[in-house]
Amino acid sequence: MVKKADVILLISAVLLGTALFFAMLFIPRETGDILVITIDNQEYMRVSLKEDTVIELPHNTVVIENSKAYVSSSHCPDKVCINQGKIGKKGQTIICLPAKLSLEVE
Amino acid sequence: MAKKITVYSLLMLFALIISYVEGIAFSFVFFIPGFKLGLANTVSMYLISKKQIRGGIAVNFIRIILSSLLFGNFYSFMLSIAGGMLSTLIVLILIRCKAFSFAGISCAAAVLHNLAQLLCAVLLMDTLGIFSLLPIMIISGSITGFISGLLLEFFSKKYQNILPV
Repeated sequence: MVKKADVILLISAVLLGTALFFAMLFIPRETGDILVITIDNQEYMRVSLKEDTVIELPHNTVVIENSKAYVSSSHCPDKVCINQGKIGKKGQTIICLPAKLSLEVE
Repeated sequence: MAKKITVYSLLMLFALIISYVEGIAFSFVFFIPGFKLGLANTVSMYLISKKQIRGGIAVNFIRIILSSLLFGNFYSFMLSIAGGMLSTLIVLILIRCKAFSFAGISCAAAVLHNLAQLLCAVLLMDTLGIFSLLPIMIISGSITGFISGLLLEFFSKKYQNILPV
């Protein structure tokens, strides 16, 4: 038997999530200029987002295009990093856990 | 004792297989790795609800260790174990307080499971950016948890007479 408390819990969790989602949308973000590439918790390189380039990393290929960065190919099995899309605003990140790679815009 | 060990092993194996199959099935439909109902946890939730507390905890943790050894890696193990610990804890608490049925308990457990995974990922990766996933994790966790709780509610009633515990 589903109790009333269950439904209340479900609805409040979904509402909380939705509220957080919209709250995060309204946090203003500036466009960043530098992409910091970190591999295995060590800063690997910093690149300007202003110039279009392709960077070959040990397990991933990072493309910078129109002030945005994305992972175009990766050796990892799940391809989460590719599906995370393009980043260009300050604080945005792309993470690839299997390659221990993190890209962050500054 | 021997009977208990056999029953727990079978249930653990059932949980292991169901989580693997469910993972594959969902990855065909949604293309989001790791997105699934979390049916494996219903096995230990059921055991805990039947006062088999140590058995329920053991089934869950051995399943996590085995599934990481078989299909995962160190990171997936850390994420699963973090989620497993927090969600098992909340199941233990909520089953005691009796206000919720399986659906609600599972809903809360799934949200906290996702939260623990997110925290663990932040610690492992040392970046706060992953927190942007928090709203999605809360919404998806509450819905998938609720559904798996409903399924447990339904099937544990329907097959009450053949369940070993």
